[in-house]
Amino acid sequence: MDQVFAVPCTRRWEERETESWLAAARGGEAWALERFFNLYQAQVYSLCYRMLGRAEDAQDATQTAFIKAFRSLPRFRGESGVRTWLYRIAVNEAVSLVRSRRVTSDLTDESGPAPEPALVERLAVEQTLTQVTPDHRAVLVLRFWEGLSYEEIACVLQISLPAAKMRLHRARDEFRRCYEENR
Amino acid sequence: MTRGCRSQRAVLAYHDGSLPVAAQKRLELHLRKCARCTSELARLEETDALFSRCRPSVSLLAPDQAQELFREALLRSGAGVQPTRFGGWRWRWQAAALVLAVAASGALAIRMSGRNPVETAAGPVENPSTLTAVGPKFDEPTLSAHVVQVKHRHGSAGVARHYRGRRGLRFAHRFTTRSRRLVHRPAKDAPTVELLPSTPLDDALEPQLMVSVTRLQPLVNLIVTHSQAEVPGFARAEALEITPTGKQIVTAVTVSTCLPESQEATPEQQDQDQSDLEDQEERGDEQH
Repeated sequence: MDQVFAVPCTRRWEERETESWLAAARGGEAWALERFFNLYQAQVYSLCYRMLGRAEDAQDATQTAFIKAFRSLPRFRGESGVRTWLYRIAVNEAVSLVRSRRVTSDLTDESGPAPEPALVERLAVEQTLTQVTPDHRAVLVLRFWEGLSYEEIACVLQISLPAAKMRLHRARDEFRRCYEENR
Repeated sequence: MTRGCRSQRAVLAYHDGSLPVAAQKRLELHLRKCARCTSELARLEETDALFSRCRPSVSLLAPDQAQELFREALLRSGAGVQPTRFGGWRWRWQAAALVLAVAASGALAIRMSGRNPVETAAGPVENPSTLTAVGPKFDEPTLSAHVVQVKHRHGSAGVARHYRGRRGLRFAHRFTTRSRRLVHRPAKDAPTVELLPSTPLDDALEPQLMVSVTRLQPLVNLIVTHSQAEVPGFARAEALEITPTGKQIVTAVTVSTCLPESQEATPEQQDQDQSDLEDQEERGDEQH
């Protein structure tokens, strides 16, 4: 099932959308936390899946991200959007998971006896992504697969805008180098 | 473009579309002359196109998986105080007032009666609060087995036997000693566990677990959850007590559908237990 979700949204829209339940969620009310979870679980899971490449790892990372988010919600001051804040937690979790254990992608399971060129290319990209550093992997996934703007990436990774651009540039270079070595 | 080429940042900015119009035109002129910058720009565009083509599709979690994940996250985070009854800080004042009222009434009762209050693991109970919660439906048919195991948070283990009383299918909570001799009274502050059958009593498909706890300290919420254990045929349930501090979540009871074989009761024991329980229930009805 190919799920594409609309990533770009303004902070004002998020504030309008979330102000009704965010206060209740900060107070730890179960119904508001459930609303929070239902709103963002698909996005967080997609991000984790694209970062980690395995459904089980993505599920673990999603769960841990929400556990941390539920615990930190009372301290969330709203300086960034809820989604950006949650993405930050999820990215940190996925990156630490990549660092702590060698995560192997099971996206290659779809390979058949005679894979199509498009599939071969996709598998090569996913394989190469496992070779780049976790930080570079995160910035590439956020930019190209999650469709975040530079400003949003800077906010999620808690770095400046020029640093986000430079990190993406370096990540692209590293990816390109690994990709060409693999071919 | 080499490391020394001054247009490196300009090429990146041009690629991002963030270059001012004048600088954009200057760079386009430069690109006509500089093969390296042109090839670098082509590489950037190619890499971006490659990622766009290879965006992996994601099979999202099924609704029941997502629900399970939420429950687990809620349980492990310690959040989820249900609070429609208590808004903001008001519940803290109410909880403090309730504690004071319970303490005052307890002291008054001791002075007037001269007797010691009932002792429980949580302390003397004069005016305990009781909460009852019903868990989600079990889709585990083997829960209709006649024995469930109950483990209390203080480490005492007990056996709840399934019997059919006048009020339907029930689990009565009772405790065993090490010599497997049944003790016909529940632990002092043990939760009461009851299985609510879904439809016909004979096949308790999708039953729900109802748990009641009685505590001296006020409880804000009681959440009953269950999860499928790794071994087929087993189901485990947990009841969480949430106190007004909102921080202390206590695993009150764990229920599983099976016992080690050594603890299984014989059919004669089961018949005896059932008759004992029915007698006990009748005595309780008479008292009421």
